[in-house]
Amino acid sequence: MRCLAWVAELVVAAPGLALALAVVVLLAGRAAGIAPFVEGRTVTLAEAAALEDEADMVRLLEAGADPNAASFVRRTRLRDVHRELTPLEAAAGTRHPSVVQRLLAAGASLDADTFGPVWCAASATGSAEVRALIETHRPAGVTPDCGAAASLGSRR
Amino acid sequence: MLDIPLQVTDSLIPILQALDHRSALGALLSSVDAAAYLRPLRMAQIQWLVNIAGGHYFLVFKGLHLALVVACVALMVLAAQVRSRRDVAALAFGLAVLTGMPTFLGTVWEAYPINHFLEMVVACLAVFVLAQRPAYWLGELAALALFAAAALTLESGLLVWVVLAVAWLTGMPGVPRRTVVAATALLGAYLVLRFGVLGTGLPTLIERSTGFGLRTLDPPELLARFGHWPLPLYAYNVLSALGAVTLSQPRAGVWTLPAALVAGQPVLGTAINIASSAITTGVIVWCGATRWTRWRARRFEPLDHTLLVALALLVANAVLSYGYTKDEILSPAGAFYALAAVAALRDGLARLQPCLEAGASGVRAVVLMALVAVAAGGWGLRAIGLHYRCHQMALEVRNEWVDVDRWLERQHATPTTDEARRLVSRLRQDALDHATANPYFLALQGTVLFP
Repeated sequence: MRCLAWVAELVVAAPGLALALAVVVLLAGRAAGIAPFVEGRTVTLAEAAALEDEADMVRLLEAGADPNAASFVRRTRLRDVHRELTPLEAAAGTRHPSVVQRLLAAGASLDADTFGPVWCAASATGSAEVRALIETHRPAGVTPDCGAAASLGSRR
Repeated sequence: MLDIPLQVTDSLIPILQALDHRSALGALLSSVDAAAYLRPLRMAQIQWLVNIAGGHYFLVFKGLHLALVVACVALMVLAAQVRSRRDVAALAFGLAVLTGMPTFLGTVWEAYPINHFLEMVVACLAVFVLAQRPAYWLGELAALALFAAAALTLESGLLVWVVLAVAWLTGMPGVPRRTVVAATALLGAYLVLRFGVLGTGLPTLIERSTGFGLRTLDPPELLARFGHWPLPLYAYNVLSALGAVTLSQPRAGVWTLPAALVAGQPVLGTAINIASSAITTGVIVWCGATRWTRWRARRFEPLDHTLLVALALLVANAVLSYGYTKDEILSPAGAFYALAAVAALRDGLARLQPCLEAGASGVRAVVLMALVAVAAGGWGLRAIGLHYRCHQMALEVRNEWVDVDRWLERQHATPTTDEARRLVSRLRQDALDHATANPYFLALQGTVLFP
């Protein structure tokens, strides 16, 4: 029955021991350059826009990132896509006008192909401010058909 | 924690103010005439760190913050007086409680730019550890100095006196009568200075927002509802504080469980928090109940010292937060709650062991262990939540720095000197360069599990 006393102590100690182990693993991972989630430094401008992470957007733009360059966007809780997008496409569906405003101020633009999906995604979120911002960059003669426009995977 | 930049809100303006004072003494003197709060050492400490930083503000402030967290955990280990395998098991549980408590979260992710609430936790734990040791003039002097420094840093510093007083009342070896008399004299001097000489007064309803019922009320709403008679609000805040530490509800005065149910939001994390806290509080209360006759006979052992100091600190901390409730204000009570959990579990395991070894475990012991297992799992999860919430905070704080100039403008605190502009620019760059893991990459919405 001595083993039962052992079990009782182990049950009590389990969370603390797991915590201590997690701390050791995290610190060792950090020392070895492995991050537990996703290392922020690998985030591209499009991904930062998709994540509404304005700090990373500013960091990348100040470092000279091209606001029109398409890059691979990984699936996140905010965006259900796993493909190449421009930063504005990635930002489509955001409720934060400052994300779109920052990209437009940095020189991001929309063409006849990209306007439709971005405008439709902005319309779907119901953010009038974001939609109005995108509207100002509507290429001449383009009328998006939101029924047929490609989804940009906004989970909002 | 090291990935979280210094905050814009709460931290930046005190740092800029510290720049205006050329010395720590100047900062100290400038703070003594503040209304409602007497915290001269708070600004003096910030000024001193700004002075020695030499431009490396993040390094210096975060370095101190990290040292305080390490000191807090180390003092907790010392205070637990680990001597056997059973003690190690109870301490491991206690550390998960300490780090899983919502009161601890605020001491890790917040910076003002020095987390003074964490300083209060360290001061209370240090005095308790000194009280456990045999009386020695240097230890007594250190305890008194800690009390004086803590009281002049934050109102919660008065809790150090509570630790000393209860330590003396329960016969802890490190606190003889002369120490508690000297501490009480210092407390008297503090009260005379605050209310008699400086006329600092107390915070009123217009100071801050606070939770009430299912939501947070802003100062104008508080004034409208309680301006004529604030006593019910104060009583609610004290009871809320007691509940927040012992049952994880309400949080900052808001009953988040019914609020989430009403709003149709997930309640899994909140339910785990309440269950783990309720079981742990149950174990502590049960342990206290078994000691009641000893307490009435004034026969105290180390277990009783821990339980009674934790109880007194919980009540005193709750009373001190009568004005508004906030998790980190309750961090000293939270730390001693964890210490009480260690003591109660150690006692519980000691009582359980002979039954288990004799094979007379029975249904009661099995149920008890199952409950403790549920609590242990809950606390383990909550401790993991600390890591997740810190990542979330890092993301939010970095984003605060993006438009810091506009924020300063709105606060009418635009830097006017080159030195101040350089400081803001340096801190902003530090924050932006601090790329951190983004919690949105997780498929799981962490706030469901870690509310």
